[in-house]
Formats: sequence, structure tokens, C-alpha cells
Amino acid sequence: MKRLLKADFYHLRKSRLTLIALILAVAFPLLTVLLFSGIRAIGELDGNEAGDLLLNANYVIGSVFSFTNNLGLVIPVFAGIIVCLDYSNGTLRNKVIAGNRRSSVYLSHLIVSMLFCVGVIVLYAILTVALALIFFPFHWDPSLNLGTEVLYFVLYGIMSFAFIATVSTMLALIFRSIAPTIIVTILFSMVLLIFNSVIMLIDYEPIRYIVYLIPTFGANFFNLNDFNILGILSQTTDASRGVIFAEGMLSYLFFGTIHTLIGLLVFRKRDLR
Amino acid sequence: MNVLTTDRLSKVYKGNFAVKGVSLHIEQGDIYGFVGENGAGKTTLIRLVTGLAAPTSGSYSLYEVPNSSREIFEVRRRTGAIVETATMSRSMTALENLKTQCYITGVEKTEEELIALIGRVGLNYEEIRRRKVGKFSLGMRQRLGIAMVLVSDADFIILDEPMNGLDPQGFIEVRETILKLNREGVTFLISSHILSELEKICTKIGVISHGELLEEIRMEDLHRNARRRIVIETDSADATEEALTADGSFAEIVKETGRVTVYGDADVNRVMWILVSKGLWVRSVNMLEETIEDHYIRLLGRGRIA
Repeated sequence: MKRLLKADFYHLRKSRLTLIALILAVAFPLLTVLLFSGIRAIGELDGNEAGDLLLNANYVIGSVFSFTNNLGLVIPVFAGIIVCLDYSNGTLRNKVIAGNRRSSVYLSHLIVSMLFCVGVIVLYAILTVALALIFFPFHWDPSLNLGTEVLYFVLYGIMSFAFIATVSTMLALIFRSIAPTIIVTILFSMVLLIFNSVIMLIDYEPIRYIVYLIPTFGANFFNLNDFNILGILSQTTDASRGVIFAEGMLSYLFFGTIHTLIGLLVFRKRDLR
Repeated sequence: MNVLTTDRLSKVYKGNFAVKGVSLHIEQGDIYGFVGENGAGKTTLIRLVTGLAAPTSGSYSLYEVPNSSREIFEVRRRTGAIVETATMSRSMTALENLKTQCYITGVEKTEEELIALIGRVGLNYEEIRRRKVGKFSLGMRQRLGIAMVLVSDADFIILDEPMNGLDPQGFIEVRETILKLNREGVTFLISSHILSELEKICTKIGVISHGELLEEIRMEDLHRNARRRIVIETDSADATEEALTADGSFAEIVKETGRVTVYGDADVNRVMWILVSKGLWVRSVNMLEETIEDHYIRLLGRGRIA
């Protein structure tokens, strides 16, 4: 496993896709700030209270960990392509021939994909948050503990990208082809977005335990609650927020494990060409 | 010691046998030539024993460790293989690919050792040091593939069509490398359709057709049992056949267009004496021994030995 991780990290380090992902992680925050500044300038929103409420740092920060937004959609696709290239180059075959267990090959890819996804999104998030706080007004509800909320927010972000890495790795090693991996990864993100959007419109309390089974719901909940001006669910107490956070994390863990088990099962059984 | 043995190994794809009940035996120090037409099942068998595909039935042992054992992963580390084509990352250089292979196999090699290995397979490091493998010719990739196999210091190397894409010089270099490594104790399983190349290096051959192993024979036995023949060209093939048949001392005489072939341990002096005494004008007499190619064709029953 250790030697496979070494090989996969070396491959990742040498991959052009890593370089492109890092460039995008720097470019997207700059573009976002430019876009928001442009909109604010055109709408003459600077110094305007309504403008500050609509297009502020909260809005920008609230979406940094969304995997249906900007880089969030690109990163899992890149992770999937990197895994697919290992198969199409035949280097994955070399690993099996050299006596590595298929489960180790799979898990090594999963770990590298997770670290790739989390690493790139964290870089993107840091830059975006920094620029947003510099250029736009930020509002905070003083009744909420900033440190706890930031911790929830960051942990959710990291967990959601670790989760989506389990999806892209599973798809890449099941399809073993770049095109279907890209399409289904994007579709997967979109379907989750649609689910979340629909659920957010429903009074969530009666179906609370069902909605928490759906990954990203929890993340969207926290994003919207803490960093978005809409503040839809701000009436929840700190205690229930902790429960929601834990349930959401468990949801990611549960579905991430399910995806990994499905991927492992299929990958171990299939003949490699 | 048996390096690889298969016991009635079979693989079925979509209801058809790609490999059917193959039992082969490769001993330590062998250079085993695996011969068969396209689609005969050579690559499928190699994919089975390298762990890329699972057998439908039957079993195999690597270094006498059965494939059902957990230890199979350990002994697989003593194996290197190129299956169909040399596989490597096209966006990396040769040296980077070798480094990756070092990580995969858990072997520690210095950069100098890897550069020496590049040279050993006939690639000029200075020429290719900055070139991505995607820009290599097929022959260059094949050579690099062999270098990647050699990285792990494997003592059993499986090469599926290693001569593909190589120029004559490359042929010689790869052949010399195989022989050199074999002298150092490395066992080989080589599948190839270039039978003349196999004949020069193999110690044993296995002939496979339509998924079934037709024969497994040591080269010395093949040569010992090889059917010798005398090919005679005279001014009249009919008269030559008539004269030799009338003599009655030759086991098998075959007349072909413009020539007559006498099979078996015939005495060439007697043949010449008969023909000259009958007043026939002898243009040429050639004593030939069955080659691996002749043997293969005869085994498959595809044609007569020319």
C-alpha cells in the first residue's frame, strides 16, 4: 500500500491535470472577485445597504465548498480522469502484475483522489475567503460562536470533497474510461443539487431523518445558515446544530463507505485489459 | 523447481473458450516459447497467470504457490511481465516511468542505475531524457517496457510478443538481453509469432491453437525428433520420383513442382548415386532439418513442409 501511494503521488505530482487544477484554484477566486466587483460597480451597490446584503463576502464564502459550483464541479472530474489515465496507460496493470492486491490499488487511488480533491478545494477556499473578506462586506450574527461555526463549515467542506472523491474513484474504476466518468460524475453532482434544492423548499422537520441521509444537505444547510445572507434556518438552536452536523458527517461517511465498497467489489471481480 | 505450472486452466468469454484445459510446465532456467496463431489464447493465458483475469476453471502455481493461496501476491513480486504492449504513462519521461515502476515494485534504485538500465535496452538516454514517452516510437516504447520489467530484478519474466515493432537491430538487442538474463538465472515465458526468433533462444516450446495446448516439447527433443529431409532438383521430377521409389529404401518420397523431397534419415550419397546412375541431371541437393516453424505448421496440419 505504501509503495502504491508513493507511485500514485508521484504520478499525481507529474500530471498536467494537477498543474491545471492548481492554476484554476488560483484563477477562480480572482475571477469571482472580479465578477462580483463588476456586478457591484454596474449596479452601483458599493456603500449601498441593500447591495451589501445581496452581494457580500458571506455569499461568496458560502459557496466555496459546493461541488456543483465553479471548481467544485471540476475537481472530482479531474480526480476521476487521473484514475482513468492510470487504467488507460496500463500502469494500473503493472501494479497488479507486480503483486499488489486489487483492494490496495483501489484504496491507494481513493486516498490520492481524496487528498487531491481536498487539497485543491482548500487552496481555492483559502484564496476565495481571503479575497472576499478583503473586497466585500461580511456580516455575522453575534449570537453564533464564530470559531465553532467556522470549524463546522470547514469540516463539512473537507468531508464533502472527500465524499465526492469516493464517487469519482468508484466511477473511474468501474467505467475505466474518461468520457463516461466525466459525464456521470457531473450528473451525480447535479442530481444531488436538484435533490437538495427540492428538499430545501420543503418544510424539513417532518422528513428530517430522511433528508439527513442525503449527502450535501447538511453542508448546504450550514453554508446557507452561517455564511449566506438568506439565513433560512437560523432559528435552530446550537444543540440541534451540533446534532445536524454530526448526522450530516455520518451521512457522508455512510455513503462514502457504500461507494467504496461497491467500487471495490466491482474492481476486484473484473478482468483487466 | 517449477516456476509456473497450470492445471487444466480454462477461461470462458461469452460462452466461448479462450483457453481450454491448458496444462503447461515451466521450469527454472527455461526460456519457454509460447506459439500460436492470432486468437489462439496466448495472451489470455498470460493474463490469467499475471492476475489480470480470473480463471473460469482450473488453477495455476507460481513458484509452486497455488493461485488460491494468499502467498500468490508475494511470489508475483518475483514476476515481471509485458502483456500485449508495454504499458507506461505517456505524459512522463522514460526515467520518470522507471521511477514509478520502482515505487510500484518496491525496488530501490538510484537514478544512475535507472539511466544504465535505459542504455542496457538500447535507448540513448541523452537523446530521450526530456522526451515524453508519448512521443516515442513503438520500438522505443517496447524497449522501455523491457527496461521497466527489468527494474524489479524479477526472476520470472513474461513477454507477450516482445519483438513487435522492433527493427532488426532491436531484435538482436532484445534477444541478447534475454539470453544474458537467462544465463544469470532468469526464467522466461515468451509468446511470439516470429517463430524463427523463438527458435534461436527457446529451451522449450508450447504450441497452442484454439485455446488448447497441442504440444509442449523441449527444443533438444524437437531437434532430436526433427524430421530431416533431402530436397532434390533435377531436370525431371517425375523420373527422379520414379527412380527413388523403385529403389525401395526410402520411407517417404514427395514430388512437388520441380523438385522431390525425401523424408527421414536417407543417405544422401545413395540418393546421388541412384540419380546419376539413371542419367538424371542433378541441379541441387539440399539436406534440411525441420525448423520450429515447420514443426508448428505440421502440428497444426495447415500444410506440408516445403
